[in-house]
Amino acid sequence: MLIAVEQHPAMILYLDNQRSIGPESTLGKRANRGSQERNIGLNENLAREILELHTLGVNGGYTQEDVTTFAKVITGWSIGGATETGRFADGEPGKFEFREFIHEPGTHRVLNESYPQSGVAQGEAVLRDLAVHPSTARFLATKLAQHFVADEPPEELVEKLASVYLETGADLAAVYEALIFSAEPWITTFAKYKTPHDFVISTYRAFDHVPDDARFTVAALDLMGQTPFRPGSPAGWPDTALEWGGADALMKRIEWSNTIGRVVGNRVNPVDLGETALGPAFSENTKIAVSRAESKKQGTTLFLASPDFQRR
Amino acid sequence: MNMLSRRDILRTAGLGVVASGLPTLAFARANTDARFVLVILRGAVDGLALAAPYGDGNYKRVRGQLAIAKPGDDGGLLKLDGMFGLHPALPGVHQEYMNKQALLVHAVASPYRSRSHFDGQDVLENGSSEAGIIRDGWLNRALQPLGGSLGNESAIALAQNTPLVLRGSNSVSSWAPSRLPDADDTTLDRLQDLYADDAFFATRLAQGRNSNDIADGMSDMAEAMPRGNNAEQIKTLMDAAAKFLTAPDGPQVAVLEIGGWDTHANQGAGAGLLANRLSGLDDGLTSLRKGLGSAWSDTVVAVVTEFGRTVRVNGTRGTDHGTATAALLLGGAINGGRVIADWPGLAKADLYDGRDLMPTMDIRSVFKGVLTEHLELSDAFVNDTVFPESSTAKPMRDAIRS
Repeated sequence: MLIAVEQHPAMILYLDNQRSIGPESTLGKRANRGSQERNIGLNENLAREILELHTLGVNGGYTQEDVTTFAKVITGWSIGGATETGRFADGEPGKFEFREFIHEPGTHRVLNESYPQSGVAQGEAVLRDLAVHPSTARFLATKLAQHFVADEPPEELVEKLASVYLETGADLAAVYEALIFSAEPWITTFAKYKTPHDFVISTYRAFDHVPDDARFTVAALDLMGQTPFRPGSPAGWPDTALEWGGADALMKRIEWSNTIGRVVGNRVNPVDLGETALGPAFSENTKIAVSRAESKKQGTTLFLASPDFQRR
Repeated sequence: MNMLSRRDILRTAGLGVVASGLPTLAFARANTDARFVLVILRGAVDGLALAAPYGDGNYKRVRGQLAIAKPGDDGGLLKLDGMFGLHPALPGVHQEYMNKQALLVHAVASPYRSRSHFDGQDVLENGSSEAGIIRDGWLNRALQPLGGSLGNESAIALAQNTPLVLRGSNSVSSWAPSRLPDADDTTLDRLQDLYADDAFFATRLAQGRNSNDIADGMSDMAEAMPRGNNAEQIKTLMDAAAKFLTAPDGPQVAVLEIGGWDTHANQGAGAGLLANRLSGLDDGLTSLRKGLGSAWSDTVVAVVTEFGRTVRVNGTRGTDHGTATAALLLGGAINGGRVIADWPGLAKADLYDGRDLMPTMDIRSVFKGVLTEHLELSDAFVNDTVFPESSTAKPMRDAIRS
């Protein structure tokens, strides 16, 4: 999966690897001999984010030297039709394309490991080792536990998931199974403040209705700061209340809840809505507030904006 | 001057300090007329493009196709002094510089040295020397003597979610434009009741309502929050900041964040990608100055970024993550018209790790200078509470007009 992700043309393009050129590659050497093409060289972006965000994590034990060397290892990892004409035009557009003439030749050392392979196999070998590195295990275990349990996940659970990950050679299905059969996700309830995405989708589920016009959903997520496919940084969307819990962000959720209330109007009984959506988790406090609303419309708004429904 | 505000009363009574639970009454002095705007440029701005050292003999060579023409040439830099020129997309800032109301600080960096955006921003904002070790922001810690309180905050984030620099035990507000109508007051009152037992929601609703009250009258602006047009977005946020900072009893401190500076590819020199971004920033800053009106004379705006970029151009006509960069201070309170730099040089041997501009000043020195001279917080408070374990970063002196 890691190899598929890092060779995905969207990832290569997003993190600028398609024209990252090894200084000792065929093209690199030729260009550095002449003086015209001075902009020939490495781009570290993809290599750095693989180490920092996709595998080891920022404190996972790599150095700037590792970033630079790894960037050399994955020179040549490009996309088909990277330019309209010339040397970068080969290959099928929208597909991964390995370009030998910009690949840095030779054996390289990344994280104290020597990689004698040549061509695309060298970068794949590094990724295989990164995938089963203990730092990667811990990084992914923390993310999973944070998502399914709590913003500050229990240490024992993180350790358990990380050890399953390592013991099974990074078998994600086994890690998920360990998570599901752990007690923590089941006993820690309503510890998570929903992301805008969670909130919008769970609203649709509560009504058992998805609006036909996708623009409605995109506008909602945009309003609440989670525009689809635009997370703003390669780290992706945050997953904690600290990140999503601004005062203004709550006002936007209330505004949207208010809009939904107006859209459904008096067609929905908000107390029934709460029972359906939350069952026994529908608190007495919220139920009273919703049932005393001045209209069904307002009751729906109160329910959607309630702490009961804003947490999961 | 005018009537006592709610905050003045709190401050006089020392309540704002007691309420936050720290026994630092002795530190509780501050200039409550001063305004401070912190603009965080996320993504690592190329300081060598923001203020280019055209007088450095190595500049043209090491910057290659990203070198900008010297002052006086067509599309050239805007002259700051014999060594530095401002990017040509920043004419508004240059005008402030000529008016001695803008100051450039160069070869500056936070203590962070490892080139991750996220950890770099973390360190810039938590005010320590490492990411993750302090979970609140230095500007939040600095708010204590300003005496804000819940519903009457001394600082606002012009963002939906509060950036780390403003997170912490002192109550702050946030506001961002919206395209949907507000819920009516009766609905909000009922929600306030519903939230009564849940501090997380109750606090945020109180803050959000307060901000919306101040923002009323900006509905035209709210509707216009444009998508995908960076320059318009910046102007919207700057105009909102001016409005909040000039509201009676409004906040003294505002934080804005602007992304899009991570120019790994096709950065451009005097024109292009980075130039367009800078141009939007320049327009926004001009709009902020106009919006603040007479309050501009008591304002400092600090424009900072997490780190700089590589000195050399990379393989994709851009620059990679680097170390030292430039910071910009402007406002009527600034003792400007100067570039402050202990210039390290651009020769290979002078670079950090052989690739980045060498830091010769700690960005915390700049912040300390603003906090002590402009907000008039005490040295001891700033050195001990706002920036703990930062004794090597001496406050920058004389940045503020006396």
